[in-house]
Amino acid sequence: MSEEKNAGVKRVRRILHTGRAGQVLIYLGKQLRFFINENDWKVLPMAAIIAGLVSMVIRKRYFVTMEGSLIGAFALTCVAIWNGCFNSIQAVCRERAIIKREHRSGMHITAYVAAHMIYQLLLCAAQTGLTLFVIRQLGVPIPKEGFITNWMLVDIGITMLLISYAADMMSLFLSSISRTTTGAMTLMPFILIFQLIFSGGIIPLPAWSQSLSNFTISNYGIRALAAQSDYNNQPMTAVWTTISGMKDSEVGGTVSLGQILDGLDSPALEKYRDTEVIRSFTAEEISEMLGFAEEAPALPPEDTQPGEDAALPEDTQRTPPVTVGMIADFLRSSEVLQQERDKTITLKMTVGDVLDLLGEENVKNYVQTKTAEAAYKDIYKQSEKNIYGNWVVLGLFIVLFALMSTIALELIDKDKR
Amino acid sequence: MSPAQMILNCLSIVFLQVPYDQTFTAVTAALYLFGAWGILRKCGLTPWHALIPCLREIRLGEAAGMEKAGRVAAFTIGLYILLECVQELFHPGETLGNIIMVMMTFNGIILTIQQVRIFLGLIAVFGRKKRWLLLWITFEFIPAILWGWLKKYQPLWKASELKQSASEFFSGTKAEVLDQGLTVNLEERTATEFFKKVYLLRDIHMYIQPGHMELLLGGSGAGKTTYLNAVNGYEKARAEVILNGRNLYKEYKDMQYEIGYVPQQDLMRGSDSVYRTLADAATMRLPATFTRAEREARVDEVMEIFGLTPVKDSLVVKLSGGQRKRLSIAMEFISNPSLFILDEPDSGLDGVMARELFLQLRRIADQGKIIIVITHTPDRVIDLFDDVIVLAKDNNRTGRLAWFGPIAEARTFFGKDKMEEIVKSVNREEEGGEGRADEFIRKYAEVQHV
Repeated sequence: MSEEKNAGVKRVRRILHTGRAGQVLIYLGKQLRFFINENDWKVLPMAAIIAGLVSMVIRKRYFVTMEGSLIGAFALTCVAIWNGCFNSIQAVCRERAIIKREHRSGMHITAYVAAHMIYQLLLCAAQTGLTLFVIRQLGVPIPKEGFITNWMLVDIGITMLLISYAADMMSLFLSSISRTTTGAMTLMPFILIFQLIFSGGIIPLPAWSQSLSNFTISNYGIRALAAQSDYNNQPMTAVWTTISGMKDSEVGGTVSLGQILDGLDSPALEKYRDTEVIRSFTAEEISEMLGFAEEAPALPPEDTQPGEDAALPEDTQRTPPVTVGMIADFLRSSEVLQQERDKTITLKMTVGDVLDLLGEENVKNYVQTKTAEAAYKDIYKQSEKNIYGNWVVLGLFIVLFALMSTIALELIDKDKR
Repeated sequence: MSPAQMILNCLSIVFLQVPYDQTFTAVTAALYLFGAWGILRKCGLTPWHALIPCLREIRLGEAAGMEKAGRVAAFTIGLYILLECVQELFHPGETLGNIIMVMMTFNGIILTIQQVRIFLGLIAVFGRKKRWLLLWITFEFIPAILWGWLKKYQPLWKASELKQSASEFFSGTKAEVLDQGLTVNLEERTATEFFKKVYLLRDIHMYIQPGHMELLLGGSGAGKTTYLNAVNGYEKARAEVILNGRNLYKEYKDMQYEIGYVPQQDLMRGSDSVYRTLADAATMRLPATFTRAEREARVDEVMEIFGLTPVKDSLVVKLSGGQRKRLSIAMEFISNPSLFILDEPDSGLDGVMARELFLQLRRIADQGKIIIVITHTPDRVIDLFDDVIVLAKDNNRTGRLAWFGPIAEARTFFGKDKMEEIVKSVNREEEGGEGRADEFIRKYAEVQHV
């Protein structure tokens, strides 16, 4: 050991001690012993129970309908965030005094945080695996084929692991800045509520607060899971379900003939002028309908020009189609109707009657298609770019919170006693 | 609201923290100021400060012996005034208005808590029953006027007396620096409490020889643990700490392994076994040049010394109080430190176990180590110590050195036979002591200076 004297104070060559890598192993060992001996393992059955509860809610609609996929994405995100948060919220603050003692004895904070990161990753991976196993067993219809990998379960598993791990690191940070477990557990509900309310998935947010959702893990988790479930290409059933639930509800009202006639001039109706209300029929079809085929007069074919001979084969002779415009013009030009403008008509029927009139299946298809079009969201688009983008953001959250935890713990010596 | 009304309203908010049109509340607020004037006067502080918002809270905090609460209350009052004026003057939109409302609610809660602390402090200063708190919280102007202006209500001590400076007692005599042993020349150790610099320790100088076991005495809040943390370099002070010729503060990263600090609580993980705890401590604290076999041999040796071999496979959580304490000491001893500091190692131990533990420490000291120990039951083991360090709080509540030297001379200096009586003599009267701290601090400073 070389020594040099300088103004009465010796300088001694530095003695090397166990480095960061060696310390990571020591602390990883401590975490694993904590898992076995201090009941940390209980987070695993808890994750399975939570997954079971959520599966019961989402199993019939996830991957089936648009809103079902969104609710499923939200529910799975909640599960992952919940698991992640509770894994590590007490991890640091419960042994804060021990960390201080060990820090003054040469512990590297980076090694300590790295050990936590490895341990928590294992924990999150186990929880994610359990969650997926449970939801699969309880009949959530997850397709076999994946979008990013070959298996959808793996795709969803990666997203849930990232969400869970990001939430875990966020909680690790909260635990690092909390002096006591009580303090951490007091802070926790605020963070959870913030994550869930400002996720931007289910709860509509006022304009001023929408940007806040960019700072939530849940937002990117829901985006990735909704994109993976092909949200945009699912039918939307919420509106149709509401309508069909109202079949016995009466609809109707009193209108004057004048109001109806004025309504014929509306631009909305004008758009449908050329829509056929009654299609063209051949003479044979009309005869069959009327039941006197032999006496049916020969009608000119559709493309017959004035003056041309109408003596053409019977099956090609047809009536012109009746369009919305033709009916509107007829009603508008009717003098009888115009004279009766003040006459009122009372309509009274059930929603079911209307559906029967229009054809229930037609309305269902129309409503589901149109509402799905209206609910289309670019952020839920099933594309590699979109999914990878959300994964990257979740990864950034992990790195950011791990860094913040390290910085917070480096300041542990400043704690007030 | 006309401009004149707006100005009047702002003035009312600034001085009374009440809008002017709330007549009853404004009158009670004015009465409270009148009462606060009287209280400050009785406590020896400048009475007209009661009229100035924020300053009033600071002074009332000082009068109540709750300086930090006073400063926090002053801050929240200032924020309240600002937020009220913003709401009155700028007519914010709905969102901003809501945010201000939330902030004011949050601020109001903090203010209420701080005021309760100040009121409790005033109750203690005026020697009244805690039930007065109810009146202070509901109609603060009534107790303020009663206590401020009736002769019947007098403070037990005045804030002005506490503010007297003790700087004249400083010795400033530095201890010598030698190649062996521990030299501590601590000028001051300060902390900042809500924008105010607070002196925790001042003017502590000593040299401790190798092989000495020192007893550190002092009443609660005298700064014993703060002092030890400053000595071991964990919480740096404005000081020079030289251990065996090396400056601890400058070479802390290298020297931290030469210092063993055993905290008051048994800070170990219950889920580890005794052997694993010591093995991990050995891996962390012993030089990297140690082989695995050497480390294991050291762990076995330390377990033997501290009688932990029979419980080597037991989990820490299953150990008895005495075993845990020994394990805690063994963790530090594993790196064979030259300075060993123990904060109440005998807490929770019975007389026999405590004596056994101190005998073990004596044996370690006899190997040429320096040992500093805090204990609240020193008389049962006083024969094992070489010197005693007595810390005491001066009038400014700063930890000061009232004695450092051999046990026998300490008895003469304080005129007491037992160490516990020495602690009692320097403790404040309201803590059940004799309140002679300043007397001994001055006396010792003079002795040192000579």
